[in-house]
Amino acid sequence: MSLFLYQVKQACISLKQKPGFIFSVVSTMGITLGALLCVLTLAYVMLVKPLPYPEQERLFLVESTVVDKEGKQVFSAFNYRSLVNLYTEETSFESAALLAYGKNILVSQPSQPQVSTTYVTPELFELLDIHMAVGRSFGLEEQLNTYNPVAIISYDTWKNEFAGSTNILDEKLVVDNISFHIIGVVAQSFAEPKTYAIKHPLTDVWFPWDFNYISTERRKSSGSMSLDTMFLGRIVQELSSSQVEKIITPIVNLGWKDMVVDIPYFSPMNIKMKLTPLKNILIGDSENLIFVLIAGVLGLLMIATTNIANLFMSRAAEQQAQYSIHAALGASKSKLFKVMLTESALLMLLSLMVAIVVASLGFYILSTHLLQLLPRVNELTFSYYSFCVTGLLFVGFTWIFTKLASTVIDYKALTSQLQSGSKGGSQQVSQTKRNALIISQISIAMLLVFININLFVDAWKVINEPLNINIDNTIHAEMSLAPTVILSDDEKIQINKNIRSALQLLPQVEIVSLANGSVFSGGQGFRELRVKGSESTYPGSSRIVDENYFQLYQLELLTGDFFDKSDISDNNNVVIINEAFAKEIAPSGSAIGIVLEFFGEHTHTVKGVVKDFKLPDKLERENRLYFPGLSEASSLVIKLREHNKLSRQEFVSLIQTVTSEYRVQIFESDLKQQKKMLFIPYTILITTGLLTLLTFALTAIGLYGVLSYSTQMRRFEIGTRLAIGAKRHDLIKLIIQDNARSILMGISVSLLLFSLLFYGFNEIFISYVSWQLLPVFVFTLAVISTISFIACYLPLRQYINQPAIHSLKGSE
Amino acid sequence: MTTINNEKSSKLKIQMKGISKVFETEELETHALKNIDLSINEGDYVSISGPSGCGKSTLLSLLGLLDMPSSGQYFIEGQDVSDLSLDEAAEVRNKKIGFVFQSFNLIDELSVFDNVALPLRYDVERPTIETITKRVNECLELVSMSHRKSHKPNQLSGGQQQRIAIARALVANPAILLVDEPTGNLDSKSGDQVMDVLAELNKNGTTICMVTHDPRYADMASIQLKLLDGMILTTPVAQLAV
Repeated sequence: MSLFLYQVKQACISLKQKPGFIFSVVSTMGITLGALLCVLTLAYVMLVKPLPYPEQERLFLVESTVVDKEGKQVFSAFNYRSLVNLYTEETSFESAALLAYGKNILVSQPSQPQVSTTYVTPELFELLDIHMAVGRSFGLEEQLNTYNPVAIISYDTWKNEFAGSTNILDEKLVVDNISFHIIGVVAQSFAEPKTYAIKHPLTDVWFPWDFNYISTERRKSSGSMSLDTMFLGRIVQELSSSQVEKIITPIVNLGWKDMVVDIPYFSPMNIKMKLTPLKNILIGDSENLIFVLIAGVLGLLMIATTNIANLFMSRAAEQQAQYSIHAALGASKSKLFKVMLTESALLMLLSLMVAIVVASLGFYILSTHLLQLLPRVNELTFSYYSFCVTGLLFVGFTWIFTKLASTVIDYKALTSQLQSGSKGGSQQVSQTKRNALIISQISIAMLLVFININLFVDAWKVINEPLNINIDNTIHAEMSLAPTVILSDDEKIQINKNIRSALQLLPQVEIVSLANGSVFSGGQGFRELRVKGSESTYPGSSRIVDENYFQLYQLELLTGDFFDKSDISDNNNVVIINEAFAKEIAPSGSAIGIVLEFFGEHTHTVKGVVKDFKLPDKLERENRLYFPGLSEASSLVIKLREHNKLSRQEFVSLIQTVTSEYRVQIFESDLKQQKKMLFIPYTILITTGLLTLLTFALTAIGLYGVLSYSTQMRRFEIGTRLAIGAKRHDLIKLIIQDNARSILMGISVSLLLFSLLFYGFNEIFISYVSWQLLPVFVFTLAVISTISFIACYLPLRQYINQPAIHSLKGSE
Repeated sequence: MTTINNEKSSKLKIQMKGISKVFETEELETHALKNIDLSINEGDYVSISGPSGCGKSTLLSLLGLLDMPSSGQYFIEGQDVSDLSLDEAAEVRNKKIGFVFQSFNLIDELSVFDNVALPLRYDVERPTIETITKRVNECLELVSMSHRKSHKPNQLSGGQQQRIAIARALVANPAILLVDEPTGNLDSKSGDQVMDVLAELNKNGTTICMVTHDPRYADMASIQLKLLDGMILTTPVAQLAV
């Protein structure tokens, strides 16, 4: 047997005697290294790894920004004609594709599911190198203005909606009364560019561009601007993005200026084209988040490393008798190092195996649950890069732990130990090292826990802040016109009223209100809102509501009156505003009776002021205005009686009894919508909560490890003190007092680190620093102190709760 | 029953009646001490000797309240200490028992002065600093170690360390000094010096009970007990065995 194999065998035999030690090392390092691997792979995918698309560095998203006379950006959107012109005529791009995102109901499927759809020109498949699992991609037959009714579905849609049918190419999809022949299924491996900026879920169905949702009128309209259309192009090799911007801006702008020459609002404005690398669009502002994640995991790793370093050093001290025999039999210092190295390597190998499992689990969780929050998580896999990192971690940590453990062993003392047969002078982890371990544990834990609890509390506040409206049993529904149907606004309003009446007759329905848009949507924004006679303008958003709206949501009236029926039927020029806006326009008096002016034309008198209500994902309360009336937008809110239900199917059937012109687009409870909007705070809450608990657990284990070893080293001293009359509380006091200095040092170091962080990253932290931090700090301090106290007490228990003779055994 | 009647004094310091100690494990029950009756009077110098495993150290642990008997009664200066809680036993140890261990058991981080003062710091009556200083100096004087009070134990020789341990055992004016193989870790010269100190202390009235396997030192005691298989074998001729 080779020496190497012999050493491995011996290390295995030796470790088998200590299952607790193996468990502590493998579980602690496995979990933390797994988290590190996961986060580092994520960082690599997000920040370093090229996009998985050919010549990705030349892929740009083209943005059309409308700027005012001063060159200030007013908004960013494409005019449809300009977009199509750019696509057909521009030569700065080697290849370019048009994209429009939408949502549709697959009426051909029994459950009529809502799917996320993307309308594209065929070039997208080449630009993003989309491979097909079945069938073909879009090609010449689906070019612009061919109106070929075909569709391509995603791999998941194929599996979920068509049960992976082998005859999928014989199937059809019916959307908006058009039957689309399925011509292909996208390969499972395709990672769709999912952007933070574009909150569109992954595409279920791709349709040719010609069928996009933009109506024929809007396609021709000069003034209509579209937000959800995109232009993705690969610029020609010879040009830079800024050169392309300079080339296309005047072309698009001149064309647009010609179109809007008769529209006074647009006439002074210009269009400016902006190219952003696709990679930047995908990453968005997630870069900071990934660095925060890395910092958090590194903190945890430091605590874990400290814990395990202590275990390794204690074990080395414990093993000294064996090592001294090895030394006496002629083992050189380097041979002993190799023995320790083999043990460490075995343990690290086991830990990294656990780490790989943990990281894979992390990849799965990230790609299934955090797609909304983090870019490119759908590309996460255990890659070549991850294996390299694993290898480095293996080498690094094996070396670190062996080196630290070997510092405990004094080779000269080892050899003399057996010769002299001395009972005393056993080697120990020095007090200085033990203190350093305690200080580092406490300081890192304080820092991590404090930051995490702060983020946790912030997220908790956002989640639990009262909405000031009652959304129990409320459902928001939106309908759209069936394709080819054209109705006047009056006709739409009449249908909406009929739907409201029909719903009101259902026994489970308490009240129905017609209002344009969900309660959580921003509503229509204003650029020209002012108090009549005043110069200053105010930002705000508005919605048109009927007389049931406030009652339905139980939105409290502070002053004035709610709308009455005549306000709605006569479209009276009144408005109800929220408290925040009332305070802004009438800081000291009443806002009732104040006349507001919109676009310099319409005026509305404030009739009532209602309590503020906060959007779940916004920090600030915004100005809200409610106008009386019936909107032509087919949107309504239903409040069900308690313990009653209304299914989407029931709702769809009811709509069909009232009108065949409508399709149900959205049918969702407000509570569900609220939860969706709170996704990020919930994610932060869970992540920071788990991180805090993990930090507490690791710190507790670590401190217990150090203090337990330290107490064990003092067993005879404790026995002697007991023998001369020390009571239990005397010894508890003694151990706490002796460790208090290190604990206080740890706390001081954490405060120092806070200060350094604060001065180093002032802009980030300045908004966090307030007196509100004090209770969080006190709480953190209390928990860490409690952990420290318990870690002091528990190892002592075995000595002070037994007759003193047990501690003195072997002291002679 | 073994009763020791020392002629110097008749005041009973220690009395054990029917003391037994059984160590139980899952498979084994070991009777370390069997029905021991023992009385020690003020001023006695008792040695306990016997072969390894005869129960010497167990008896000394029970005498010093470091362990509790399985059965029997134990009195120190008339106080029943057979069934005390851990903290109560600590208080009695602090006030009435002085220990001298084979391996000295001094605390390396503390100076000689603080080592000697330690029992007084655990005294529930919390003596003043002046009292502590006075008493510690007296005890160091008794063992001739006053000149070393600022030293740390590891700066002293084994014999010196044991003398410091004796000073520590004396500092609270205990009813009895329990000495466990005081010369076990010392060379013969230092051992003799330590034994001289003990003899001197006894001469001045200190009650001593010493465990030793060295017959030469056992003979220095006025009363010599021999233990075998957990039972007291012989008693000095001068004393009365009942």
